[in-house]
Amino acid sequence: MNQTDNQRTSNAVLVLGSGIAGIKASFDLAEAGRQVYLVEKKPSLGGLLPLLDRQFPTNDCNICHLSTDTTGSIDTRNVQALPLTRLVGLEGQAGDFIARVITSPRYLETSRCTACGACLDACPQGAVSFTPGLDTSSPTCLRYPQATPLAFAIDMGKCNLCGECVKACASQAIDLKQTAVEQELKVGSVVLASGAETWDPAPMDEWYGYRRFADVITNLEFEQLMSAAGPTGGLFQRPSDGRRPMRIGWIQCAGSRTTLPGGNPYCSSICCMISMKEAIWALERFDQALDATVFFMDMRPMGKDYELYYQRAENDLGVKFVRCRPHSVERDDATGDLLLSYVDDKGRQTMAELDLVVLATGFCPSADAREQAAVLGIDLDAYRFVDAEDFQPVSTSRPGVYACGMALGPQDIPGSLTQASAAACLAGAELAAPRALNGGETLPRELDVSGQEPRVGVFFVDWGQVVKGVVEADAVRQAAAAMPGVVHAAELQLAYGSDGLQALEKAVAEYRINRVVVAGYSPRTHGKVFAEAVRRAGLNRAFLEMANIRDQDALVHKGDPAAATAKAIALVRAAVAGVRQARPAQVISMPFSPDALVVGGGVAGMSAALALAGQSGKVYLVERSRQLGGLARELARSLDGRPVEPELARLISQVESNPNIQVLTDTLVVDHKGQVGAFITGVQSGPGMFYRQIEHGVTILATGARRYEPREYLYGQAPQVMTQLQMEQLLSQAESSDPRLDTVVMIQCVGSRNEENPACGRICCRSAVKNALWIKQIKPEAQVFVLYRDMRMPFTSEDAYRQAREEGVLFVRYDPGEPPQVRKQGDALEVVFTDHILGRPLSVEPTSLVLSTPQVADDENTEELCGIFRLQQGPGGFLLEEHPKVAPVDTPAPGVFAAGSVLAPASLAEARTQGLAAAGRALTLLSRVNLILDTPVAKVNRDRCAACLICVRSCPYGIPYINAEGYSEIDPAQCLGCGVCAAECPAQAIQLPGYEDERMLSRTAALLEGVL
Amino acid sequence: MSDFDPVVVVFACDYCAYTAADVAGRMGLSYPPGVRVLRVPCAGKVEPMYLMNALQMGADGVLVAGCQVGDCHFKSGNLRAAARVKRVQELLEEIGIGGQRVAMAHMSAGQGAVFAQAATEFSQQIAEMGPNPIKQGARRAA
Repeated sequence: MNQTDNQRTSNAVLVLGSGIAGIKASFDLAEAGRQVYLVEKKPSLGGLLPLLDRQFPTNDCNICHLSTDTTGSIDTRNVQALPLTRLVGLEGQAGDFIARVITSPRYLETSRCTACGACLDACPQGAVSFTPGLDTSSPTCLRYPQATPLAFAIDMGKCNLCGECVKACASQAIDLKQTAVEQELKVGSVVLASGAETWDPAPMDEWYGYRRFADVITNLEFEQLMSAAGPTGGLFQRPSDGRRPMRIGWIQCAGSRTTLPGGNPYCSSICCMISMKEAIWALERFDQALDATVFFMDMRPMGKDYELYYQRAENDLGVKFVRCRPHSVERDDATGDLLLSYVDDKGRQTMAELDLVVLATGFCPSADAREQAAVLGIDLDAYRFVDAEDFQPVSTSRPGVYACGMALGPQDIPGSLTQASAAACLAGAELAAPRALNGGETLPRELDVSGQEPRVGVFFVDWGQVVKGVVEADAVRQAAAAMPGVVHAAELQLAYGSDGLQALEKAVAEYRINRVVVAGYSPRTHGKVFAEAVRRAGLNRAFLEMANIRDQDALVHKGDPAAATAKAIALVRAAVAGVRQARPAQVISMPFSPDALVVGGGVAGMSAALALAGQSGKVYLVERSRQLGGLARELARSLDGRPVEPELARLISQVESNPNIQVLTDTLVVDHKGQVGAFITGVQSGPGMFYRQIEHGVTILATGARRYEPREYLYGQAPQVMTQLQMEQLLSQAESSDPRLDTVVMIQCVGSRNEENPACGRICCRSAVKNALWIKQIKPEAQVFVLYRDMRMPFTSEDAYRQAREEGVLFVRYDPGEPPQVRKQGDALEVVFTDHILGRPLSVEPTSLVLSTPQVADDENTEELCGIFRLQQGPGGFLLEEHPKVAPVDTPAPGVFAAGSVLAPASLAEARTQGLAAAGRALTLLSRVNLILDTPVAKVNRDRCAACLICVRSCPYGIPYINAEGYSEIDPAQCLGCGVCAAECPAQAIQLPGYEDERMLSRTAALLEGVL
Repeated sequence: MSDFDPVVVVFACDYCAYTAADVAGRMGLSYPPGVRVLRVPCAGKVEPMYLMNALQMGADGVLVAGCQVGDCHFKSGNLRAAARVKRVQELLEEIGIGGQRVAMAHMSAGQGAVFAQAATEFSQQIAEMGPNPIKQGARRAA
């Protein structure tokens, strides 16, 4: 880590594992100008994600989203994928590793394989049919239809060398004589993203009956049952008798949060969300009288805004939730019903009759985790996940080896992706200077189509079940084919990698297409990707228009397929009409500033600044208060129980002593202009409000949240009442004789999960358990009550929860409709609450009453920030990210990233991870030497301009001016393209490319064709 | 309720309402299928001519959807849009088409529910007003 630059010779990183975390880390590194070896044990890339048919909270499939987000912009030549490969040795040290890898034979030449499946049919080894996703039993196995590489592989363990497949293969791709290849890779760092495996319920068969009853399935099997690509082709039938299940029960924590043999003591963190998603999805698909019930102990929707999803599932979408302790599953042989016995929250033994039982099984470390850790020389925790500290959340015990995704423990997609970007960022710091990327130099020459008649190609991209289930695809395609100027109308599957985009490029050449319409995705999320594809096809990026069939049609009009189909045709017609009039957009190139501005000097901001300082230009760290540290200054211990102060002090001193970081405390951001690569931000410092401007290429916003100031439970009116943070401060000085620790009552969800703030505070449960254990440590005889609604203790924090119960901390649940009552009795306090099991009120006189309060949005500050940086706030006032699932630390403004509690309540580990991730994302831009400007900017037709000054006055940024020749001039590098001047110009002398008047009118007319 | 399904054109700002419309879809919210969205870079780009043209082409109602007041991505484009909508309303009232056939809505990017509600309510309001009278004229002429 302390190497000098001349020792860092390698520009390559080894990424182990190709699930979403590994893919994200690889793409980030490649975009930052690094060479990546992406090593995968299995025959194809993708990890667990392709097995999920849908992902919450949009119940959309996001794998395409992830890949299309990147395929358009990355230089894929920087990533070398090595499937069927494993790491067998790692010598050397950070910055200078030699990795030895062995690639097993595929017995098949991937470049020749067409994935036709003839080998599968020919193989006599029990391969009757190919069922993607579920059937891994056949020797030739393609795991799912979108696999990359799209090629079969042969399992020699099952092959008897009969040679039938060789004869069957028309493209002569099969070579049974292939042998393993070993090679040495010179890399500077390693990112471990080897993921996890799904828990196998077989060992707990006596409880769940997974092996005994065909209609007991796992959550992943449920996804396959529902999937159009699954074994039943999307027909929703239960396995035993093919009947459509009408009563479905999800059993939460199957094999999780248990000390029974065969199970896992930890919480798998995301199964609650997976089950809710599946239940909602089933209800949406079969809205008739379907009974979807989730049997749970605590619901733990822990991610940003997941609580809102839970509330919607329960209150609006008809999912039933039964709080209980599920016991076991039996079967009534007479009726075929499954019988789930459970103990409800009043302590009563109850039974539910179900047609299908879905086990919400969690995740386990991969089977070879220990072996792999030994090769890497890193430590694992007791469960065989990678051991990481809160302050080093993506670092392993070996310098230069980083980890992300489920290798660190079960977690959701945004968490995995954030860690991946963070790990990529740190992995990059171990390398020699990146290869400069410029973009554009490898593109084909742009065709001049100015004199040509429009030849429009309409592509229906990724019309999966989400769209086709509502919109009649054939009708839209036929209508499109008949629209004026359309020469080609075809479906296109993007799915994985860039094959789909290449198909688009091919079609452009084959049909001499000179205008492209993409019907499906929103232009907001996919516009850039397709603009790049159109450019690669030799057309100007502006020769593209998108019809938003998915988000603004199919997803909204599920109940009215005929109208949705008619609307789809209208949307496509408007896009065709618009694109016919497209004119080439100008591209401007200017130098890209290597400097960065980080706003906010808390843990997230400092982590980002420090990570950037070693890998790019100068970093300006702006903090509005007088000192660095942010909310973490008030924290005594992090959630993993380690003291915060020493780590925080080290981080601050590293930042302050770094020659590439300029710290500006007592400083406010007051204005901001320019574009990614060439931002200019104005700040005011000190009591004299000294103003200066900072030029920078990227921006990271990490301005944090604020602590909720409780109004509840006599806070501020009785000395015994305090917040968890105040308790923490008390504990860091308390002695065992302290009478304030005699009887402690903690109340959870104070200021959260209520009408005013429907969100979950996310970390208050863990803080409560941390402090409860700390109290017990200081004073074992202390009485501690935790009054809670759901204990949300993800992953190994469940161990702390169990330990607290074992040490005598009493956890008592309360209903939101019947919250604890607190009153003053002279100088004493009385807390009255109802015990659910006993069913009667209890009264306690606490010596301390601790309120678990959340971080809430720093509304005023965030609002101002959003105004300055032109961003938006989401629910609860937190900053709205680019995409909650696949771009969690990006913002909609190019070149602006965000980290920490400005996005959502964040733990110290999360703030640190997000800070590193935002830096990692920023580095993908800072690798560029030139800034390419292609946003449409206003253009003045000088012959029409009367120099009336209306544009000068109406521009929100004061950019137009009347030049020496007497007409209005607009600097294309400064114009932001809002179009206000174009709308105001009385002579229609100003037009905004893409939105010219003529084009807007054509779109409107096309959209309304047939209405009159 | 009226028995006709009005066709409504929404000019939606890319930075707020267009995003909100996407969010509405992703949240699984619904609004009448007659509502069709055209994307603009800012509500301030929507010219009075666009509104008149949409009505002339047979739209029963036109909604301009921009950022919340004080929150415009381009400082004040939404206010300019609101002022133009008001002028067009007066004009429409004068010529007997009905000023309420055009309206302005404000929302932020995350507010999918606000978009769905605005689209639904405006559509209902237009349904109560009945079809765009221009349509009858066009039909008679044909």
